[in-house]
Amino acid sequence: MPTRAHRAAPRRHAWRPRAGTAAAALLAAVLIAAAPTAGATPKAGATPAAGTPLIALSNQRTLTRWAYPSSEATIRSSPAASSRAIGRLRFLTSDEQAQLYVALAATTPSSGVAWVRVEVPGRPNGQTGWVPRAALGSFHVVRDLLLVDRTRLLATVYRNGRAIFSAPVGVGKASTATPAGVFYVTEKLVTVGAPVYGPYAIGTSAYAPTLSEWPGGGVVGIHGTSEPQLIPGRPSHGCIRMRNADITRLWHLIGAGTPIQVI
Amino acid sequence: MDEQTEASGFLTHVRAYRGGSGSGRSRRRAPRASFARRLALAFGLIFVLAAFAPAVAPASASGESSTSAESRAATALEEREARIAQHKREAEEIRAQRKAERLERIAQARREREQRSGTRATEFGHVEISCTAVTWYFEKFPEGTHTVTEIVAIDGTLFGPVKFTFTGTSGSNTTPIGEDGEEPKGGHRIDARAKWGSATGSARTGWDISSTRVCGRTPDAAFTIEKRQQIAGTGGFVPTPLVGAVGQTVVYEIVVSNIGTVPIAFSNFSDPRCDPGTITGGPGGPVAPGTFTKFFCRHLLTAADQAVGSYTNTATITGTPQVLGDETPSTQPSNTVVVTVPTPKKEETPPGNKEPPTNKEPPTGKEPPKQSPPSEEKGANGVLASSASQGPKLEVLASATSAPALSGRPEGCVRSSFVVSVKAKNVKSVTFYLDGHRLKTLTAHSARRGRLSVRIQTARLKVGVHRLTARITMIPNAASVKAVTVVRSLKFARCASAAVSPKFTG
Repeated sequence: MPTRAHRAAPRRHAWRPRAGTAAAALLAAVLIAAAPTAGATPKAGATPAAGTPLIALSNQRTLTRWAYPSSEATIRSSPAASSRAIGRLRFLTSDEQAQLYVALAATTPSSGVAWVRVEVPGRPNGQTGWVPRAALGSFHVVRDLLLVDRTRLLATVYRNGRAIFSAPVGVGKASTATPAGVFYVTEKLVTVGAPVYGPYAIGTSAYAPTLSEWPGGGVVGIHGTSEPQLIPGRPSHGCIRMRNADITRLWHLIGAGTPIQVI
Repeated sequence: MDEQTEASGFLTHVRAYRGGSGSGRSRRRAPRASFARRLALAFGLIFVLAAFAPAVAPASASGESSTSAESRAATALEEREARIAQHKREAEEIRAQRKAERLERIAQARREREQRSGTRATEFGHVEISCTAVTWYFEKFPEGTHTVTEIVAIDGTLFGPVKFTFTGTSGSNTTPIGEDGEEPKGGHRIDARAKWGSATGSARTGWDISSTRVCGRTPDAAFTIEKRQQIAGTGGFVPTPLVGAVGQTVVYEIVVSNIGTVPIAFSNFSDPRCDPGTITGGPGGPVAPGTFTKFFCRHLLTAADQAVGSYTNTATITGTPQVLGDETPSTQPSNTVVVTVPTPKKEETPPGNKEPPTNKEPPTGKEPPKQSPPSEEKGANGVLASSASQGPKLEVLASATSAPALSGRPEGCVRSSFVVSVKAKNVKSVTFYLDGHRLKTLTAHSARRGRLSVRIQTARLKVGVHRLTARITMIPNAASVKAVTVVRSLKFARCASAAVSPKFTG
């Protein structure tokens, strides 16, 4: 005669938004679907003082603001002139194009001076810092996201959260892997005299972790190729290679400041 | 009788019937009279050929050719059999491949179905995963007391194990997950597993019931709400803090965008800082995917706001997907915007005799002291730039103080040329220097539209950063008999052509 089962004490588990085991497609969907008001996750050493309101300027998914520097101001670890300097704004990239900075958040401490937290291109990847608002020009807005999936070897452009372009890619080999993280388009180049880069190239704020001695500092680019048979694959030194037809379309599709999510 | 003799006799017989070389009359009658004969002759010929055919064939083939024909026939038969076997093998392979594909499709569909529903049945029960709880149903167990180990993993992080004991042949247990039973935003993968050993000794090993489900919001029904603000009549909407004064009106713009793939109906828009009766805009119906709707409202800054110093404001709205079966409403807050209403300070600044106030950042090398412009917004490319207390628009500085400033700094870098100017009011002359080299001196007589302007040609400049300096001599005023000279400078970058050989890692 079966008896009624007794119920064990309910145990409540806390949600922990980790995505390590989620499938890549799921992660992409989550990235797109997440609310933009969440803003970028503040990194260590880059938080304003307690009680100071922090305004998210970009979520780097559906809304990203960027600006050109108007001076070579010091980038600081927190929104205070007395905080530690971690670098300076630059006018030019390593390819001597206009350098731009993605604005992540803004705050106005009690001093009354508005500060903007920006992504700092360079090694190590993912560094952010604070600059006075006056050190940046006017803000520009992009609503695109370029998602590069190193597992599926696929690049997808999302506009307002919807996929509008997808193409296979070649990424870095194991010894010179393409770094993961959130970066952005710093420059768009028409390549001349370098058929290995294809007809067009896109500069990113990502730096190859190992190739620090590379000319230009080891900037990770997105470019065409003279060896399309290697795509999709893992043939590169860290750059993201695309077939020439695909890089041509991508080059015309996305603009400067477009965030790049490499997973 | 051999074949040749027989044929010769036949031909002779034919000539005899034609009448040889007879008269024309007999020739004219011949066709009509000999038609039956000719018909008989044709049948005879056919008969003869049919009679001789079996004899001709063997006579034309030797013994060797007969063996070769048999060999060829055997070879052809073997080849035919081989082809048939090959076709059979190929057909079987194709059938097996199609079967495997069909099974894979079925398995994939089952996995997707299980993943969607979070339910998976086995012979010992099933598990149901909702996004708020995991429920196991243990069935068809033998009589006795059973202890089951249940483990839940959320995004790969294990929780548990939970020991569940029941007596009899069936039992059920529910484990809540999530905070307050609410489904979280974002996607989460939930794995649920249960295994057991029986007190009766029929222990089983391994995980007997397991299933997986992905919970959380999907891109199918997603929207964003973004709030921006402006001081009425001063510029564009910005999400950044504003500085206002009592009596000014703050205008709010709330943009609600449907970034999903299904229409969404929005309701319950609320904004605590909107003055009553000022909310306008909004959709007339469901908002289509990829489109947006805007709300507007206003708030008059009052002494109460000034007393507080600053206030924050967040709008919220509820969106309901217009999809059958998935009409779960979702409420989202906007970003928070800040308005500061400082207490006005009295300051007396002799016109033209005082450098503009500097901000608290220390001077950086050769750069002139930075100035603190008043609140000013600037739009660019239809996009709103913002600055609560500082702005890049240097013309504002000139109006804030009588010391004019350079305006026209190029955005980004410049390849050919750009124009900088100085407001000519109270200016006697301006001398421009580029990297320390004197370019040009303009006097107030050269002013056009109240400005002293110069075009900077950069085509011949080196790629890199350059400094442009303007020494501005002011007209002496009543407070000073001596002309005051003000130095203003800006940096700009001359960039290379965009057609380059990149330095990427490749």
